[in-house]
Amino acid sequence: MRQKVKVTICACSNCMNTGASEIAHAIENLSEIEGLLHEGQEIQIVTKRFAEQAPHSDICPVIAVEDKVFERATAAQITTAIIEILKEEV
Amino acid sequence: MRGIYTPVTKIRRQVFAEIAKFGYEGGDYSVIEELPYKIIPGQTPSYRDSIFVERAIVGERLRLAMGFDLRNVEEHAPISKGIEENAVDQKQFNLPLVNVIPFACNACDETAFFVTDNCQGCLAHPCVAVCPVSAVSMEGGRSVIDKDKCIKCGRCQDACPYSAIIKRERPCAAACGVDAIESDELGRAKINYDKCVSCGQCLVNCPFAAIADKSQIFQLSRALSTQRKKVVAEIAPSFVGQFGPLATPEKVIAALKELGFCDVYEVASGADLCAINEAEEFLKEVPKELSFMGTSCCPAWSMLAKKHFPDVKDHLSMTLTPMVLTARIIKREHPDAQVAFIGPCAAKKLEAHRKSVRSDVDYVITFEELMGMFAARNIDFGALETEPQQEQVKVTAQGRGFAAGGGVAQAVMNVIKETHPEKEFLVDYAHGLKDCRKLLTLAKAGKRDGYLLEGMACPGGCVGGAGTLQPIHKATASVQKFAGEAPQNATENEYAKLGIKE
Repeated sequence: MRQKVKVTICACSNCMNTGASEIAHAIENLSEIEGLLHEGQEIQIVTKRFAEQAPHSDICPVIAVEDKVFERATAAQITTAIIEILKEEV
Repeated sequence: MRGIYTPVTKIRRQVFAEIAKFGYEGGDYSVIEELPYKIIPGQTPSYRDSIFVERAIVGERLRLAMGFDLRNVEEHAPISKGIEENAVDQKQFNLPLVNVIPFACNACDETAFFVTDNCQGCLAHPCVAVCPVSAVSMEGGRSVIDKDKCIKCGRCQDACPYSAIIKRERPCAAACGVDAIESDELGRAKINYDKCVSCGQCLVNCPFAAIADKSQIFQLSRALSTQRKKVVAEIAPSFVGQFGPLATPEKVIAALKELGFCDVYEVASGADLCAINEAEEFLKEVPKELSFMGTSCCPAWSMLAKKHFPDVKDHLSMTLTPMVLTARIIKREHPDAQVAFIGPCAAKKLEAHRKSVRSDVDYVITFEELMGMFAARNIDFGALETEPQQEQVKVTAQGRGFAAGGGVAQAVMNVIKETHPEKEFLVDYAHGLKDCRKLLTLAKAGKRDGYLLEGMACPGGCVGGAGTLQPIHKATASVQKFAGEAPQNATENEYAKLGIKE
């Protein structure tokens, strides 16, 4: 199983205003669900401005799980993608 | 539902961002009529029976966000009705602050207990045995509650081994600590303004987005756009961490300047003065003149005492609130400027409306409304250049700590311990209006004599205010961390000693 997933969250004001912060909470809360993450598995959250997406007020929030970029991302979409990657055999 | 991005959150924030944008750009007022179509696009409804109702509700929310009254549903009127008089760069505000949009209300049932399909019709059926008024019986192999007999004590719910009995409450009424939510003739929520203290918790908890408070972002955005007068921002201590991980305190100050504010002050400076004054007042008044003293800074707590506990309303401190004290510092240093208070609180809008405060504070907006302004101006926290903030007033850890529950009393206590180490006294706290009521009931009964009482209407203190964006535990942690970075304690606050109190 994969040990680490990197999630990059755009922290511009438009993304924050359209739910990026709440998605970050949802990701952080995954570790509190018993039995979901295995020992040693880690979700790394990185926040930055997606410069290549500028300006992107019509597609906020923009979030990448590893290399896959989600536009108009939702918490359910992102957490599902994270869990699927963590289940992948390496 | 803080910390969860729902369609309610989405619409509310879109409305703030659009109104802020409209305020900054100005121009043809008829544009406002198009906004419901932008916010609710398409031909089919998403959440209600009709897309026209969804847009009409957004129309009312747009009006409230511009500070206007709701329209009379029985008369034709455009969303922009009254805009000519209100599209100005100064505060426009008429009571009431908190409004139910009647046709957005789901007319939820008032509190009742229901037996669900989880009922197994068990042999024990303890629900029947524990009911003190014989309202629960077994019929057709399952438990049944007689609503006419039920006194809503909840014992049946507690006793059921299958969690088959549920309590259904109106979320707005459950969140209201002063029982101000009543029903109109159609069963829809109606606010009893004689009881309401404007804490705003009903609007945070309504899952149908049927309750909203009036905003001043439209007029504030106009003022920042026209720059006819300088506007100084005073930002409440709970701002830390509210605007996302890139929005450090320095970046928030830079972002406020980007919005057009000429200067930014931390309300923590007024909080320091407030603590010093309240400590002096406590030492002077308790127990000689007053049997106990309540803190003054939460306007909903003060209103609770005035409306619901008139016998003890004079036991609340007379010290000016941190918002007003900071505004007075600002007006002394910037006599021609307007002052905008930015905080977590809905009730501060009413405090600023008081005759004695109107000349001090010109606008009040919440963090959520400010986020709408940031979004409207495409503020990029990552790209903002920060400059060393000129320190207008030194602030202390205690001043910054006002935002978290217990922080005010702690600050006052520290001042007293520093100046009068021999003084012995007790402190009690309450956060959330229901607990505030309990505390004042005890105090009124003489069970808190000699105490300093801190009352905060919102759960967890100001960090749980109706206008915040972050979950309470995260906001509390951010406030505590930021407070820890402040260099001084309250009594070493040089500025306070240098005459601001005068």
